[in-house]
Amino acid sequence: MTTIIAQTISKAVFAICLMYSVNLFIHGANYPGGGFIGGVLLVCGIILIYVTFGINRADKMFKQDWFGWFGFGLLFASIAAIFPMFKNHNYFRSAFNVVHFEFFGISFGELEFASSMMFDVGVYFVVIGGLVFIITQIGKHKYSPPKEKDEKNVSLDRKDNIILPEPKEETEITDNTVSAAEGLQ
Amino acid sequence: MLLALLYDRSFDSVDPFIILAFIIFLPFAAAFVLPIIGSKMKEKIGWFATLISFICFLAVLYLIPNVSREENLSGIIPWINELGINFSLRADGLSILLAAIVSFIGIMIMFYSNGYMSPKDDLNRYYQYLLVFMGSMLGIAFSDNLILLFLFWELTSISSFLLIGYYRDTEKSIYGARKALLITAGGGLFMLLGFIAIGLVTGTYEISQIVSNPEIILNLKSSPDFAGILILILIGAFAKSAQGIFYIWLPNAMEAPTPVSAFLHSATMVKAGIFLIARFHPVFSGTDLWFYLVSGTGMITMIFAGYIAIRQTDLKAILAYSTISQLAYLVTMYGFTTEILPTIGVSAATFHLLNHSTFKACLFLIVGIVAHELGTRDIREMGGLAKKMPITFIIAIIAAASMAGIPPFNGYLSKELFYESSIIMGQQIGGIWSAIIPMTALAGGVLTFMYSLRLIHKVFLGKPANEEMYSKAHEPGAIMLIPPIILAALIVLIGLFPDLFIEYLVQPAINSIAPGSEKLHVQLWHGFTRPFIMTVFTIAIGLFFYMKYDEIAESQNRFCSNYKWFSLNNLYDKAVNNARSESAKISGSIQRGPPTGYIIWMLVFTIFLILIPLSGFYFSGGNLFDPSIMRLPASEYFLLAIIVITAIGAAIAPKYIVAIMSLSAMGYLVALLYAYLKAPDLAMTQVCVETLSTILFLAVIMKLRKKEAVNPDPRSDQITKLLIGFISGFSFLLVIMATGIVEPFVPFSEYFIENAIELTGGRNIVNVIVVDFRGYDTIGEITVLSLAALCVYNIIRAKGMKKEKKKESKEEEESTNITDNITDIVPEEI
Repeated sequence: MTTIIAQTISKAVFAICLMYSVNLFIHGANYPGGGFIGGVLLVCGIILIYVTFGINRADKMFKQDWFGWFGFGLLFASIAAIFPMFKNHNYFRSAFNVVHFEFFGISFGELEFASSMMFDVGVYFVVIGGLVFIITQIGKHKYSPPKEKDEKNVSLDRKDNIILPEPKEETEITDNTVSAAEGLQ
Repeated sequence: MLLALLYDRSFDSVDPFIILAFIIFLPFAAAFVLPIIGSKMKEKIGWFATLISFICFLAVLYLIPNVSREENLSGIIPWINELGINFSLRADGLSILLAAIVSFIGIMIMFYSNGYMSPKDDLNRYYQYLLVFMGSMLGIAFSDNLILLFLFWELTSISSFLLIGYYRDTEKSIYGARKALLITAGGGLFMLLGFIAIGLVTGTYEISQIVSNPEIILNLKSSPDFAGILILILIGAFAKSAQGIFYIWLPNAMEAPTPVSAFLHSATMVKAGIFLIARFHPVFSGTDLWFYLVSGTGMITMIFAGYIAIRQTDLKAILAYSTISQLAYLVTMYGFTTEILPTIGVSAATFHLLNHSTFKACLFLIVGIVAHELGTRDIREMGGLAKKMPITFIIAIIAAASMAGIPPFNGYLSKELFYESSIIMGQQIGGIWSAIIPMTALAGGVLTFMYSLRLIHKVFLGKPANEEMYSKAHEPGAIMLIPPIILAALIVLIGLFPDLFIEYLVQPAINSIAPGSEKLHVQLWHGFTRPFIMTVFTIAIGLFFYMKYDEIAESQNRFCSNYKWFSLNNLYDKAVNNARSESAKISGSIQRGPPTGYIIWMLVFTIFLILIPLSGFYFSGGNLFDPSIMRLPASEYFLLAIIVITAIGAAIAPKYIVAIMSLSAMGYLVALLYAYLKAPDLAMTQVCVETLSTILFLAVIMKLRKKEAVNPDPRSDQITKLLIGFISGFSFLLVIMATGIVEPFVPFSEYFIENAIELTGGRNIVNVIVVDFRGYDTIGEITVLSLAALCVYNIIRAKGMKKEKKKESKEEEESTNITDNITDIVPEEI
């Protein structure tokens, strides 16, 4: 499925995913959405790129250390949770404020700032980083079959039940993963 | 300059609390910055550490005049008010005595280490540990809060662990370090229990309040928990000071570099237990239990350790057992109490505390020199060193004579006091005890005399046993000689002019343990008193038995080789090694690896958790089922029916790929159901999560080859699993049907709906619950997600693991992720 058409379209889809994800995230407080949903949606977009381009190329395209993403998210969420304690409030105490924007007498409307939003930023990053990290790590893993000995354990009666997947899109992943793993070594 | 500062009393305006905090935290701060300075000073870094301990010593000296005037030097910073835990420091005579010993011996040791340690060693690490140890030891001396004391106490255990294991790649030092940590830190935990019990009975953790308030002491003594508290605290103290059955860690701790042994394991850290006993002396003494436990343990340990020391051939081992035995002197003397005279041995013990630190540290440093020059610590390889190292020899004689209790050195003075107090104690109890207690003391003295003589005789006198080593030996450099010389000078000084030290160091300490006690008078010559006669007997009997030294050692060796099982070390080894293998067996049987087992157990327990309360509720007349919830439009029934079909398909599909497709079809249909039930955000999440988990599943399945298929279960297993699955599904169904309908299971979503805008300012209740109302849950979930990602990484990177296991764990992680997501979603749906 890594035709040029699929790749082009997936790029466009990724852009849409990104925008919609940020939209979901920002609107989370008052409309359907939030850090978790926004994060998962963006992960879908990212994984789409990984599937169509293969792990090697996609890694080069993103140039991201996903490991750092969820580390940062966890740190950010923890700081957001601890921060109220410096102001003599309880752990996780939340606050919000509505700011009215007005310049030169023209009202630009109101924006609401909630402290839980900061926490949500952490959730957003952990979800993106964690999920992408897990999937890419498993994808990169080069699998070598166990030695001959293990064959004895395999029973014969259901042997033919397990068949390599036929659909092309999945085999595509294997090819990419193998090449990625070889590229790594 | 510094001395001028010291005596310039314009510092009087300084809050003593600040000085105390400075003394404690200076070594910690120095340890913190030491690597930075170490990169500049390279192998000269030891001088920096020496300077730090010198500053600490000066600061302690500065406080001595105030303490001897019995001024109140204390301060407090509230820490955890609700629990009564404060950062409170206090200096009295006893703490100044300990702090002076610690900082002074600290100077000696760090000075000496400059010559002893080779520049090839990791010196930064060495001095860092030493400084951390010194800081925590000073912390023990000055802390006035039991919990704070405990913190510093465990810090000394940890730094001792690090120092014993300083040579990281020798098996023995690892063993010794682990043993020391297990015993001393473990004893510390018992002590913590005792402290908490004291806090519960008295209502305060402040030591000065507990110790000085007669009401509180009376309250404690009459408390039914008195015995328990006493035993718990004594376990901590004995474990630290290697008394009773806890002695076994100290000989193994000798694997540390010799300066460390001199510092921690003879002069200071092992004194912490004695310090604790002295601290609590006003509270617990005067009871029979105190005498039996403390003096009893002390006397047995004294004789036993002194006896065992005879068979040792390693120089440091002799000193280790001698330390145990000498500490037992102190314990015994602190235990000498009767109801009429509760402080019989206190002054003798406190004086000996000071003296033992000087002569034992000195002896260890001598042993360090000898071992450094000869390259061995085996006493059988030595001999005749007096000609080669005359200065060392003279110092060694002074220190050993002091330990053996020969005039005119300081050890003699405190040994006489010890004999005297044991005679008085014996008379106080009367009966046969008036003979037994002095005889035990005498026996302890004789044993000490014997191994002290042995040290001098075998190392410095006689003919050299190993010519090759002997020819290489020579007097060490000045850096290694100066500290023992200073200590030896101190031994002589205290011996000749004891009054100076008693007035400024010992007497304030005695007063802080037993206020208003008589002034201690010590004289070298005070007529033919009973203690003097006992000393004469000690020397005579000691000399007599020294003739048969080798026979005694031989008989001990025979006994040990015949009854190998009869030793505490053997018990310890069995307990610790077996603990490892047994726990490995248990965890191996519970955590087998394949996730199937975990899931089955989780489900079985969930079934019990749900069905037991539900059936109780049902049989007591409750109603679990409301038929009105079955009234649904036909379209919903249709959707549900397809979901059921896909679920069954996932379970029975013969090929993995089909099963996965079926599973994800089910997921998408559930998403459709959410959308139908007007929960667009849930539907969206579900679609995304389902997509991702399908990709993940495929990525894993992709790696399964034909031949490595998992063994299909036998039919009976399949039926069991089917049953478990069915029952757990059914019980969840019951819960969901009952939720929100039947009386006790009222939904709590009302609260969120009502308060969302007011409390959080958000109108999206789902999100507000996730990030605000239930932020605790969410932070836990994102932590789990991060940990799962790390686990995946580690499992994939781990080498030499079975491939099957890898796959299974991956699947497991993935399934936990999915369930996480589901738990995220389900409560919000309500």
